[in-house]
Amino acid sequence: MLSNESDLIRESQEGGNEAFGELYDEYIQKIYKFVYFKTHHKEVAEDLTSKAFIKAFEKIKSYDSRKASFSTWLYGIARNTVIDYYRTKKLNINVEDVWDLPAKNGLLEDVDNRMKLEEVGKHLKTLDVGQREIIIMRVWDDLSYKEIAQIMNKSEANCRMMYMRAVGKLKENVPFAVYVALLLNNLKN
Amino acid sequence: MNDDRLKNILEDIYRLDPNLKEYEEVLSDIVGKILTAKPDIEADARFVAKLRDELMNKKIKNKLNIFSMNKIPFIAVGATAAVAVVIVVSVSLVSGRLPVNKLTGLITQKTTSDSVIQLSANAFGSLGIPSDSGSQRSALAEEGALTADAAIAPSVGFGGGGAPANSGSMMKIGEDMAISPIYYQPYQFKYTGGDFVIASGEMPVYRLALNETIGRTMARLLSGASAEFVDLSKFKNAGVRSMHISQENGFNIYMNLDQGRISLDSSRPYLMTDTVMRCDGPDCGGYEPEEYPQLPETQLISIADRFLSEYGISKTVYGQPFAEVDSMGDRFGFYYAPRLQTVVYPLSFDSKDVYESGGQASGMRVLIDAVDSEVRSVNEILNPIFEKSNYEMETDFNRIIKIVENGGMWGGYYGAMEAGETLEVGAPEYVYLHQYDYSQSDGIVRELYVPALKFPILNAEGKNIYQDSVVVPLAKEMLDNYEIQNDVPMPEPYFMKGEEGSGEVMPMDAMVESSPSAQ
Repeated sequence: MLSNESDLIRESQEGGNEAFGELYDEYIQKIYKFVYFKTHHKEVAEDLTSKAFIKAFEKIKSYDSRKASFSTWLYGIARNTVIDYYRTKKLNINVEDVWDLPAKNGLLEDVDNRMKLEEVGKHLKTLDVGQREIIIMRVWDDLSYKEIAQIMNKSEANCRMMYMRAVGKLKENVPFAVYVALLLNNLKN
Repeated sequence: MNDDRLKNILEDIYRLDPNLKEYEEVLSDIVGKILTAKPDIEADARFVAKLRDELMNKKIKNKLNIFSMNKIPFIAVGATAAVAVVIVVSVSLVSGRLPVNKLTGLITQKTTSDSVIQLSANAFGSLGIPSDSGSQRSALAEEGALTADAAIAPSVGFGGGGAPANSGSMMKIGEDMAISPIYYQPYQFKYTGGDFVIASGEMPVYRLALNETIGRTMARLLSGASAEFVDLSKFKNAGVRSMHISQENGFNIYMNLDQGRISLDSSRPYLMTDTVMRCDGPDCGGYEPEEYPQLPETQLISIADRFLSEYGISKTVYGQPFAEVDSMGDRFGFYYAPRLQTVVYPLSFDSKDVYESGGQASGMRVLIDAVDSEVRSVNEILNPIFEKSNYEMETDFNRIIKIVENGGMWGGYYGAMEAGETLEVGAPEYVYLHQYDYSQSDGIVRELYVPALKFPILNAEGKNIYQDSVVVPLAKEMLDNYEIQNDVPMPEPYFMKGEEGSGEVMPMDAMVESSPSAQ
């Protein structure tokens, strides 16, 4: 968080474009990555990130620091933008992020990361969408429980519980052979 | 992969559930894989710079600029007062026997659950023809002072205040003076945004879930009690459609149970003044316009939020609030701060705000008195339960553009001083359009919220229009019905008359040739 963030927010709300520019500089990479983790496609992520920042710019005057931190507010806008994106697709299932997509969905994904993501996707797809979001926000985005709670509009305690259950479920879904191999490896050492 | 990061994550997990430490190997493997699989990406520098430029060049909407300037309002004339939705069946008829607090409990019990009821596709039946919500008007037509060019202006399509065609009314300045009529031309529209792909063939249309249960239950309650002069129990199958509750030195509460909405306004007397005598003596100019301070937007929203919270008024179906100002007054520099200043909570579905056809946000409005910062009224508090049903949407963007370049669904905007003056509209955003749907089968008017595109008017500055955007619905059926209605040519009036007593008829032009003046 910028040391003078509240001043920049106030200036932005008073019409200071340059102040908003500084906020943009601080958050653009974080928001882009957040969106990318949910879409796995560069152009789509750029488009949705643009929409999120434009919306934030247009709505900056209604931001209330008593309700949430600025970063949480921004993440919330980005998250909703991604959800809207998937809802405009003609799919027969409820999709909130790329992990919900069935195979051969016709939507774009970057090739570069596909191999890595396929491996971890086997684990993440066993989780429900809320659990998966929390895992990704904790492990990839490194967000605090408080931030996650505000973004997802849940309580902090609820988020901790969901995270714990998600981890428990990941552990249960490890193939038995892998589990035994790991245990044997541990015994050898 | 950063080992420290993995270690921190695992320690965090064990703090939540120490039992998971038994599975350290497994968790270390899985979490390690998740960390390794994290896409190593950065936003492209060119993209970052381009978006930054776009944002730096954006102008914050006109409706909010007033709060960044120290304008001294020079005229304050009464602003819009609260409008009661319905006033019917005063409870006072039977108040002696009715437990009013029980009634209140019943209403809140039914109306505080927020939900959306998913129905099958096309469940609302025909969406009909898009209705003009009455929000579009020519620039000054509502004052009745000036009118549009009669030869071009259709009478249909104007909201309240449109002058009839061919009126060419005179503008009165004083009692005896008049000046020649001024005829405004329609603005032309030109789309200047880029390509836009309408992604989906189907989107949800929303509608308030009109629940008769409250009305019927209340009627049963009422029928159990009767006034001394009428036995309500004799009226079978009755429903309570509306109620008015009045609080001494508090608020009048108007409940339209048919339409699922509540409005309230202050029952405390307060004097709305628009002029004041500031001086005395022979040199005094007499009464001068009253001046009111323009309260900062953050303050207005804070007052409104506090009020809604105090009275338990749900905001869950509304988007981010904003303070509403007279955009045209602001553009032309004659903005004055009214005494009653409005905070709008726009109705919102799927993170998209709802608009009227003329671009105004549709939703709950809180009116605040600038004199004492008290809330005077709240309009359009909706029972936050909706039904939604998917309908087919138009995906041909060009079809939408044709409508936009015609000035929208309800005719053009009249206010241009010269023919050919053009309004540029930019790239759209998805919104919802508030529509009235009148059902011929049961005569009930229902309100629909239809997916739409909102096109901003980019060069509204200095232009003679109230609207700042054009909103066009995407529902295919509505566009089809609109085109059918507007493509049918109106038959030319063809007056026929024959010689008296002859039973013969002659066409009109023959009559002209035979008339004395033509000879």
